[in-house]
Amino acid sequence: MAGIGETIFNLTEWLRTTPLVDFALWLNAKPMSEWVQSHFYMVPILQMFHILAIAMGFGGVLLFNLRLVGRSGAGTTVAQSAHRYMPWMWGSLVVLLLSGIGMVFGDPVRLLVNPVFWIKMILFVLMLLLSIVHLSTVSRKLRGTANWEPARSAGPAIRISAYTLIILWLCIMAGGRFMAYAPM
Amino acid sequence: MLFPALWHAIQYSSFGVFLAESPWAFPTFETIHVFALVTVFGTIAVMDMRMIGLASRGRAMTEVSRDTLTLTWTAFVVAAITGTLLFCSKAGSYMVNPWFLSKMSLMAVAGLNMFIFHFFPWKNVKNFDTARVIPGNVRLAGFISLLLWITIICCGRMIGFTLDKYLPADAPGGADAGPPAS
Repeated sequence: MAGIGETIFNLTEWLRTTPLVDFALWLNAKPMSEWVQSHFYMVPILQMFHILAIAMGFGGVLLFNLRLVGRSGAGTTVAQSAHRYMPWMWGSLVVLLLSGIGMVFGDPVRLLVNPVFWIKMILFVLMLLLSIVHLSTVSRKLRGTANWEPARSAGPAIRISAYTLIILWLCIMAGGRFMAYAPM
Repeated sequence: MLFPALWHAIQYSSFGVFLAESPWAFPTFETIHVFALVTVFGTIAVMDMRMIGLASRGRAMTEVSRDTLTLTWTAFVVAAITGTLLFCSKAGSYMVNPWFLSKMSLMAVAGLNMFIFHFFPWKNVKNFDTARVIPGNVRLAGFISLLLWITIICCGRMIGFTLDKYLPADAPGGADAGPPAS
């Protein structure tokens, strides 16, 4: 535990030597930042949108991927499950990005000069890339066979990426919470 | 506030002090609380939207319920346990926080709504399980549930912003301690 704390501390020290500090200060002086910061209810409201969007997106990711590995959604095809949940996942990502950007404007220095924020962003990009690969694989299979059922025909790759996506979403959420506790 | 001595005792017990002072305990339980609450809301919303008729209309209501119910309840138990731990770290402050008290009251209303739905309309679910027209009371129950859980999450988020703004009478700077120093 102390090891992690020390690493985070050292990373913060390093971030402080990068142009990120100037960038955060520059952002902090923008009218958008001043506007978010001068309306005290804006940050809580942005966080409410953020967490509701996580719930809708994660709920979809969970139910779709559990259907894919055969642990949920009995009576539906993979295609029906994708059709039901994937628009919610992509829609939630849009809300997450917009509310997230709003929160960065609300506190640029504390968020950008923060290693946990960047760990979260790296995990977010990984999740995004894996989602694209995962979902395009699924839709390619579905174009071949409309009733494609990975439980019967697919190798372990699709199951591994299904579970990895769920875990990545959880890690990103953890990053979001621990960001607030990173030493300054 | 009811039972002030009890909340005081919890907050200043060795466990309460540990939760408040440990550098990892509160953030860790808070993170698990977030995992649990997004799962509760994410899955409950799927069922509620089916009940309202907004989504999953091609599937039987009992099928959607089977997909979500175990996840919702498991996550709810985890949220309740981690929520109790967070509460113990500062029980006195939670008990005077209007957002916390609203959240708890709204959860009781959500429970009542679920109880009524489960014991009345759901008894006849075979009549509307796959029906094109969903009965009004089923749609209403779904709508009330969705609205309540959104409000509960918003209240929960507000607690974090206001916990040090409302202090119990026995706290330093509390109502009995006179005006704060600054």
